[in-house]
Amino acid sequence: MKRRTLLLSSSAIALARVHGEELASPAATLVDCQLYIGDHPRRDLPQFTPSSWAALGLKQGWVGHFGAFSSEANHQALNAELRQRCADLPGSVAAQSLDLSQQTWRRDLEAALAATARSKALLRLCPSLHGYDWKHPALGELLTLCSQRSLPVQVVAKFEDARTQRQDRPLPPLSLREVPTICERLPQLRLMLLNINATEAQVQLRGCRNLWLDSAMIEGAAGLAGLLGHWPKDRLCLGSYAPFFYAAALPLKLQEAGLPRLDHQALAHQNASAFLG
Amino acid sequence: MRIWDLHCHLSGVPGLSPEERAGALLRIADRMGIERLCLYMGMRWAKNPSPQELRQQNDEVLRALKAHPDRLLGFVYTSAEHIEASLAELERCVAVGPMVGVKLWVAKRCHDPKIDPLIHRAADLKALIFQHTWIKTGGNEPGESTPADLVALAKRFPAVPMICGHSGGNWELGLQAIKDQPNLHADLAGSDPTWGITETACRLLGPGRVLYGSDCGGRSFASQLAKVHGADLSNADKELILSGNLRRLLSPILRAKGMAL
Repeated sequence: MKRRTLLLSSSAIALARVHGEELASPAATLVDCQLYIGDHPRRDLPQFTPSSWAALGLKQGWVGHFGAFSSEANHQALNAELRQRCADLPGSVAAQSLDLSQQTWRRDLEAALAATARSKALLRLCPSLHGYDWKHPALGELLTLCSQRSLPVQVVAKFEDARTQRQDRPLPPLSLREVPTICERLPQLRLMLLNINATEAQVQLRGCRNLWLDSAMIEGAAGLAGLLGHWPKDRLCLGSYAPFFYAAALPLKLQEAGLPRLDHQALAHQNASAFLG
Repeated sequence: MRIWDLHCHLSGVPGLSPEERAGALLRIADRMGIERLCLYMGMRWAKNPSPQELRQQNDEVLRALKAHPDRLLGFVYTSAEHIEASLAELERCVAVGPMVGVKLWVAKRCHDPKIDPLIHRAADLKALIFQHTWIKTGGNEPGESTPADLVALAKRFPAVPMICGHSGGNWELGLQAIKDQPNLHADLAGSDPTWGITETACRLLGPGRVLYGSDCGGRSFASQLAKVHGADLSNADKELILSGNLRRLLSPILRAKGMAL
């Protein structure tokens, strides 16, 4: 696979400074909750490097592995590679994977917990790609364990606009119907749904107090500010979904929101820090 | 870099009137350094609008233009289902009024030659033609054009520049479909900011045929600007995409109307 370096034009950052009298500078203040390394199953994408990290103005990024999208992934090997690569990327946090449809998930969970004991880490799940949903008995067990042992969990709710997916290889979204019940049953669980849109947040997830969301698929004019009219201000984090999406959208969305300083800081990094613990 | 946004709407924006919504849109655009916005369609959309609905939606855009004549550029909303009414709207809003382009949405596929009188008159007026296109995995609306439909239209009018709205949505297919038709230009707006759209558009069409647009208020300015700011392209190419190409395409009608470039 051809390797490229992820580029972010300095103009995106510069814009934030030009218009940013009331805004904090994005330089090295942002936490990106949804990044990936590795080869995407369908697209030839650029790879993150320390220089692209710096250009984005990230102080921290939570990095998963595109290889985890596969239903045949060896998560033990993927997580080992992920931890190694995160060790070489200052500020990165390994978003480790497991697949509940595989017999080895308990072993992969223990490895994730062991990694958390050494440094910050979290779990990132892709249930719909691995053929299960919220009703899978093992998911209830896993989330209970994560709640008891303070392991933050991200769940990818969708992967791509249904209108642009390949007909022969669909990427199904995850049903959200059961999420409010899970949040109510496990109030100590730190759960973040990735790639939720604003309508889903306001309609299907309304009232889920201990649920965090990321910004990757929040759209609309000043969409983040609009969502904060309906969603708790301490439960929304920045996520780029890069390199599948252009990473430049992350600081630009924060800039477009035009938030007061305290809300800006909460979104930029404080909410993410609270989630990670 | 100067930024002109090819693709904006009054829907999905806070405000009770066109003037309020246009003001809200411009306040957000100011945060992103966007100088001018092309605006089309009203506050409540109809997929197959009646002549009366076309007129009402264009009236709303005219009100927004009147409130912000130095920042907004209007495209008249027309429908190939109602050619006579659309020609009348073209006269009212472009020939006589301040609008500078033509918007065609999903009422009827554009490959049908019935649309030709509208294109002829728009070309006479030097109005820039924008046709929405998509290639939806689950299937298009009955009247929704694909990029291939637009190629069929563009072949009948090879001297008339036209814009392929959304680059077909599924841009990997859409850009391939239009690349050999030199009077077609790619609109980057209104799809997820999937990495590679802008680089691919420039590789297949050349940077002179690629235009930034947002599809705001349905989309954020940010996610759509990221397609250009984050692309692996030279600053010169980004300048073309962000405003240079649109200014070039609009310059005949803006000059004819004595409007600022």
